[in-house]
Amino acid sequence: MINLTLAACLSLAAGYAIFSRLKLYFYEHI
Amino acid sequence: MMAVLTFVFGGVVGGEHPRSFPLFVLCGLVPYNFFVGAFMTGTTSIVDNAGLVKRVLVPREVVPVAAVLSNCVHLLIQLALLVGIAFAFGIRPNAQWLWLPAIWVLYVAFVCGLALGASAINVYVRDTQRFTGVIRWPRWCWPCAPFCWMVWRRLPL
Repeated sequence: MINLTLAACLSLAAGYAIFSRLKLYFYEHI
Repeated sequence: MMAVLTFVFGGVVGGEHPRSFPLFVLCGLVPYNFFVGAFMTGTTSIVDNAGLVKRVLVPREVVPVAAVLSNCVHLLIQLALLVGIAFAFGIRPNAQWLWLPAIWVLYVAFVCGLALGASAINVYVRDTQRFTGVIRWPRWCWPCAPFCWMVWRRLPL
């Protein structure tokens, strides 16, 4: 349970960090 | 799929298995199917909904998260089927089943995080969706799939 919680938190944090960094230039690339 | 896996793991390469082995396989197959479907649709969601992303002022994080959550409908149907089959095999609910909602919420959150990152990368590197398609290949992904570990380690139900 602890592993799954850790995996979910890390995944959300990493995914959101990547997304929020890259979304600034979506208009130019979509 | 459950029948095929039961035949292969339970009949061809397996040894002695409990009577509820199909249920055992299905317990791993349901989260695996959800992961493949949700991660694939989440990865391509931004590119597939480019018109929506460019024209409508909504937080863009909503798009991949909505793609993952839309797969939860299929997941709920499969879970209902799984519970029905569990009852058919004579397995009754116990106190440990109370963990299941929390585990599923964490699992969906995990997939949401992966889909967020992969969908953003897919905008710049379109081959990401081809790469994530690799998870459909059993040869590569089955070592990561829960049910394979369950079968290999022969965990009891």
